[in-house]
Amino acid sequence: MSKPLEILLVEDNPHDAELAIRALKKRNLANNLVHVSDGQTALDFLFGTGTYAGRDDHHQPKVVLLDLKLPKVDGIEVLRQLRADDRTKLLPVVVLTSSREERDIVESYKLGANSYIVKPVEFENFSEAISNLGLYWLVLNEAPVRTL
Amino acid sequence: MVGCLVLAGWAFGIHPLTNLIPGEVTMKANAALCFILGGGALVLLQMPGAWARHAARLCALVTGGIALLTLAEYATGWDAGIDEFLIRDSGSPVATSHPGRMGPNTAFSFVLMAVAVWLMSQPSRMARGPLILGWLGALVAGIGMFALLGCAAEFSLGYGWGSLTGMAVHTALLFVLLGAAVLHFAWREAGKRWMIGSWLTASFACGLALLVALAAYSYRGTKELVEAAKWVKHTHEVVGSIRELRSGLDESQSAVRGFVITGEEPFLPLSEKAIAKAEMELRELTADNASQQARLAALSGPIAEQVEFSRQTTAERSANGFDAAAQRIAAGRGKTLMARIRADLSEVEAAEERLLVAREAEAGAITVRTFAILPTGVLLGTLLLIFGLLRLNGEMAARGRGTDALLESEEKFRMLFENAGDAIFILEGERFMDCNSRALEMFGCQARDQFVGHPPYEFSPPLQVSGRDSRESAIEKITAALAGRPQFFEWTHTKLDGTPFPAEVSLNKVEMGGRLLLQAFVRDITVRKQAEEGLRAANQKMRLFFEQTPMAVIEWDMDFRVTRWNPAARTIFGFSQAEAVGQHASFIVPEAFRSHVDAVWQGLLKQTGGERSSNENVRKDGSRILCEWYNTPLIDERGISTGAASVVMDITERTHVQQLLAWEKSALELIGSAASLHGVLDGLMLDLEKQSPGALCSVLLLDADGLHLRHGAGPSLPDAYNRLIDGVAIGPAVGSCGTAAHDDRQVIVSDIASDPLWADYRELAFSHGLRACWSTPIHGSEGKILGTFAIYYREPRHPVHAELDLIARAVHVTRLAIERKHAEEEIRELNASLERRVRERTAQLELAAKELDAFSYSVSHDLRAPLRAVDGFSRMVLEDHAARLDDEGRRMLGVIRGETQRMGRLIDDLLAFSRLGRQQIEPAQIDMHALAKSVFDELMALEPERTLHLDLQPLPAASGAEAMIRQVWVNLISNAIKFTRGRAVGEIEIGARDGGADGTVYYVKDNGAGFDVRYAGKLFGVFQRLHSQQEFSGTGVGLALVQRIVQRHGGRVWAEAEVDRGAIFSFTLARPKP
Repeated sequence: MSKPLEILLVEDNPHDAELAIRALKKRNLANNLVHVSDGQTALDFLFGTGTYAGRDDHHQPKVVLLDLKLPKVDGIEVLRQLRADDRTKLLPVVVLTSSREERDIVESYKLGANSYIVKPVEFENFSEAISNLGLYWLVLNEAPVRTL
Repeated sequence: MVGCLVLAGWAFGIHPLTNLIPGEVTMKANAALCFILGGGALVLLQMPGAWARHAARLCALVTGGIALLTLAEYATGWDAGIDEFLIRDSGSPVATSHPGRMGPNTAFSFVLMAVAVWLMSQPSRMARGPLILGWLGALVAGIGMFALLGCAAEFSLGYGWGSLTGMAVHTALLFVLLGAAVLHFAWREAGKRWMIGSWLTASFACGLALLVALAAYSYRGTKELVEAAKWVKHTHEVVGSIRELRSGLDESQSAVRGFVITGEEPFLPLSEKAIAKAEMELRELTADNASQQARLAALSGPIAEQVEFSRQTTAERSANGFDAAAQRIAAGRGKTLMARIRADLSEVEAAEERLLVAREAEAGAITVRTFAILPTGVLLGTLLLIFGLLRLNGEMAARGRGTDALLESEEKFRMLFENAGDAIFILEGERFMDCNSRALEMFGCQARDQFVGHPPYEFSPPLQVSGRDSRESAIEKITAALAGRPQFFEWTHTKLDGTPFPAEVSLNKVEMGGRLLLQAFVRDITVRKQAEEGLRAANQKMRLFFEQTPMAVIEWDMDFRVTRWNPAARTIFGFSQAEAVGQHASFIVPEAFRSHVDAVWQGLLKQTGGERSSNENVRKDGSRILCEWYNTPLIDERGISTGAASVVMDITERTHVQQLLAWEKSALELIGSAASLHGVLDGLMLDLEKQSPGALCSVLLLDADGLHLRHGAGPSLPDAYNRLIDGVAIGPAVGSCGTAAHDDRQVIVSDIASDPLWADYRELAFSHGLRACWSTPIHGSEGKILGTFAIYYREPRHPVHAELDLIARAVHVTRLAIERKHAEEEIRELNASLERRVRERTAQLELAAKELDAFSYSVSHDLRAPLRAVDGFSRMVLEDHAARLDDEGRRMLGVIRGETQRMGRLIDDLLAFSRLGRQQIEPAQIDMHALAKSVFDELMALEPERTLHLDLQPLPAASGAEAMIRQVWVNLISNAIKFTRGRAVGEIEIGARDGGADGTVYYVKDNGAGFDVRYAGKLFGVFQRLHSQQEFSGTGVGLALVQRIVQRHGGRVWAEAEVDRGAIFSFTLARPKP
């Protein structure tokens, strides 16, 4: 059995994904990271459907870093579906987006996002934000007991 | 009555009537007449009324006149011819001095009577009237009594004066009665009354009269007895004298014989003398008796012969001796003479003896009679007196018993007198004698002597309310009261200080302590008068109201019949009072309302309701009116209904007006409703037809071409007719409407059959049963004709004034309806186009907003991502490949990164700016001072190397969205910090001042680079910069953002500056609402 999955990064922009992974790696947090680039794939991964059919859906990441602006199924919809399903209801989700739009922020929190991070343009700020949140969710946060 | 009888006696010659006692004086005819008059006068005086007094006075005059004339006749010896004026004196048994003339005492008495009656007819004329009257009565009665006594005692002076005619017994009796009557009157007049009972008085009077009569009678009896005794004695004397004469003769004979025998002569002369004396005496004694005188005269001859014989014999003896004498004697002549004398004398004596017997018998009879009557009379009189005494005793005992009670009750009466609510006065004559304390109080006096001795009219105004003189009127009342007619009247009195007040006075005669007084009760009736005045005024008002009110006032009895009916009732119902009173209510109630009115009436009677009712009534002319009734049950003091009173208002006109108003109101509501013009007009016409039964209303509207009339409304006109006249041309003789519209005037066609205007349309109208049509043009507010309003009738008809008024209203309302509906249509069209345009614009705007939104969204996401990549990868190059780059390469990469980051900020600023337009502002109170301070401190912390000096003045609170206003402060303060970079010490002043209507002006002042005021207008544009990027960094969005925020808060922002001298940025914000 492989090492427990730690981060699912849902990000369509490969440069942003690269920057994020780089920032996490710098802190040694990207060892068990899965990167998907659209919402549908993210859902398939988490529910073991589609391309990820057969994946053990008991094996879930410690945190999902979710961009909102995604092809196919957008981040808000992904979040809604996650929260609607018992398997992923308690899964920590951090919304990671460029949008400062208030409606996005409000909507995210309404749907049960655990955090909302605006991706800054500056690399330093960006990497700091990413690494801080990886550190928090992977190291400091105590995940709820799984009953499934 | 006695007078009448006497007159009758005279007239019919019945003597027992004229002179009661035969042989006494007769009552003369004149005296009888006078008695009739005098008695009549007294009777008249007892009768009320002035005429009786006047008649009594007339009687007195006649009586006095007759009596005075009679007296004058006596005095002057002149015959006035009145003595036998009535009846000839047919002789009377007792001689009268003048036939037919009454005695002077009678005449005198009549004079007195006449005076008495005269006085009595005018009581209270003289203060001493009663006294004089008393004396007069006493005098008359005295004369009568005297005459009566005279008669009884045979005392001639008593009933007759001298030789003149005397007074008859019944005359005297009548005078006694008349005198007593006058006395009684005088007594009564003097206010005295008999203190003892009438029975008692009568018994005393009878006893007294009886005793007096007895005394008179016994006097007379005694006198008779004495007379009788005298006669007896006289007779005895006569008999004695006879016997003396006889013995004288015998003696003389014996003496002669003795002388003859003896010759001695001493005895003879003696006996002769005795005989003469006796004879003389006898003659004297029997002088009253003629038969005896005759007899004595016959005796005197023989006696004288005998005496002569004796003398001769004596002489013979003396001369011739015994024998001659004896011879003479023996001759026997003497003896014969003597025998004759003796026989005669015996006869005389016998006659005298008979007289004696008769006289003695008479005396005995008188004695028996007198002695029989005397004790009987005394007994009777005594019995009467004893009876009287017993009565008197009883009465006195009763009075004695009553004395204590009397004292007590007197005390009570005194108290009553003093404490009476009325003023009580005692008057003597016309002057006050006493009064109670209430009187003092009432007249405002302090002491009784302010009244005593003053007459009542001194406490009165000069004139009474009636206009009469107070004094005159008062004396009249007092006189009447004194005459025994109690007075009760209203009187205006004055108090001592002259204040007048109305009073009610009761005046009564009272006897008090033998005095005739007046008792006056005076009641102050000011309050009552006021009440009466109030009542009178109220009554007058009531009457005035009843007569003048425009409302009918009707009163009903229990049978619902009219008892009162005022003039307004006549006006309203048409029935006069005479026609209405007594009618049952149904005469003004139409059949249909009778049960309703009955229910109202029953409610009223049971006092359970019915106070108000509105119903239809019928007038005399049969027309119906609508009335409002206000009813009140009439209740007597026991709470029992006695009927009802109604006040009625004719509300026909009012109701009509109300209906019109209601019609107008509903018409206006209809006009205001959403209904179409035709719908509204139909409704109006139908409502109007309800107001005016029989009317068929129609409206024609002017066509758009202005030449034709189109159908507007005619809900009650036949549809066919409406269709046919729809589109009728306007012209000079086109029915009523076409003509009205053409001539622009009201066209009243009373009868379509005869009116030339309808010549072309007559058949059409007739075929639909239309006979009259009144059409009026409807003008719009600009004077333009909008159409016509017409009323049709199915019978010929001309409008009355009220109908013309109705038409005017209808035209007005119809015009409002047409104009309103036209206007509504225009507005509707305008609105429709406006809404269309708004919808289009809104759609465009919505689209634009959506695009902008999408744009912003994509800017925020998609524009930043490449920047982040540029920046991130530049950094990665610098981190991972720094060794392969020279300094210039690293600088260039640094520039790339710097510009990328600026681009990021620019995007953030732009996004923020665009968000502002969409963001809602929820104003709250902002502590501007604290806000400015915290912003400055935060910004200061970012510039640790700078030396800045802040002059923060107190800032008043403002109203706004705090987050946005914070942005304003951030931008302005950071600008100030930025532009003072060139100064050693950055001086920043933050302050505020009152901006009047704009609220508060806040400003940030610096000593920085400033700018040229010519470009101040450009300052607040987006991306407008007045300084190069090299001088001062910035995106050029900050001030635009400030302006936008301030403007969105309703404020304004401006800048003042001078190059190198600093700048002042000011903005206004509203003050927070208190």
